[in-house]
Amino acid sequence: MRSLWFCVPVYGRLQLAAICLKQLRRTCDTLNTNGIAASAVIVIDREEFGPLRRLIGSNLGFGHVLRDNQYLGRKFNDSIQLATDPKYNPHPVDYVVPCGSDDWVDHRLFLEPLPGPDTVVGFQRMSFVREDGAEISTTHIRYQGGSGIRIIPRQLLEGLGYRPADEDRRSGCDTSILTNLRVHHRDHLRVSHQHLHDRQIVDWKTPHIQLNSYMNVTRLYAVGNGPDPFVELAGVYPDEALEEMHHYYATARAQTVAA
Amino acid sequence: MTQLPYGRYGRFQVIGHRQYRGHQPTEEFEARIDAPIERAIWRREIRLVELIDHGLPEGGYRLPRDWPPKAADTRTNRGAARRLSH
Repeated sequence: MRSLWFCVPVYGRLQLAAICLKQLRRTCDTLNTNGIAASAVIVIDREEFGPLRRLIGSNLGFGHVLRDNQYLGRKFNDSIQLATDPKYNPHPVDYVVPCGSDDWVDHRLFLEPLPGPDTVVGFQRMSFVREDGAEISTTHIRYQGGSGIRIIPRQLLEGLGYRPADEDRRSGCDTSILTNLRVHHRDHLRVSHQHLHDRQIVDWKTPHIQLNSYMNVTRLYAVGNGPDPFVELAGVYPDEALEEMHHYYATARAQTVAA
Repeated sequence: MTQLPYGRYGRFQVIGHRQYRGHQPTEEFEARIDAPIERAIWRREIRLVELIDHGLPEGGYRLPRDWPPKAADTRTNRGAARRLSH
């Protein structure tokens, strides 16, 4: 059985992160029953760890690293190192998947056959949900490597000390990781793309802290949109997760109106 | 000069009269060691002050509960059956 961890930095938007992490737990459970030993590691500021645990009711069985939020690159590196470095993990995983705390992923993307030790798998098709939860877009991210979510074999990370992102990056960590892998491995690195369906990855936008707004990403990459995310995603993701997310956006809209 | 450990991090100081990657003369900065850094050392624009090993915060991390799963044979790392050729 091969193993895979999702590497998830968390900062702010804890209610949204809690919903997404609970969905990630379901994703891992499904992968485990389908022959992939899957888990996740959360990287979070010490002051936010307690409130997040209280929102979720547990830590979901995931690993964690407590790290200040100064550099996103450092947070990704922490999670990837805990997953893959035998110095910290006596059972290092075969693959890591950097992932946002506002993302959902279809577990079928991570079933066998998983990539060879010289290949990064990226996903160019994904969906974004608008900040008010009332629209979903289909995007094609033409950049090689696609969205920030990728399957990276451990072998590619070893030569970078299991810390592939620039330590002092505040954004653009996906680009940083791929660039550093290219510099280190040169022609030995391969990048392939996988497309299962347009909702295979969903990024939930919120009006709060946001590196890339819905308007920006759709202006650059949208190839279509749908009016109701919850209709579009029904049957793809669990009803329980969709209900939680629907409630989250409804509450946020009500608070906006009240203010 | 001995071979620098590409991929690792170092603390460098700008020793030339011009700025390097936006860092002023005498300023120190951290960077991953790569070919451009090595060339800058050869040109005496910067010097390596020390190697840095970034790692996890001591006492500030925990593996997932029940890791590894009982069914998993992660020690063999079957994904590593074929090592990269360089």
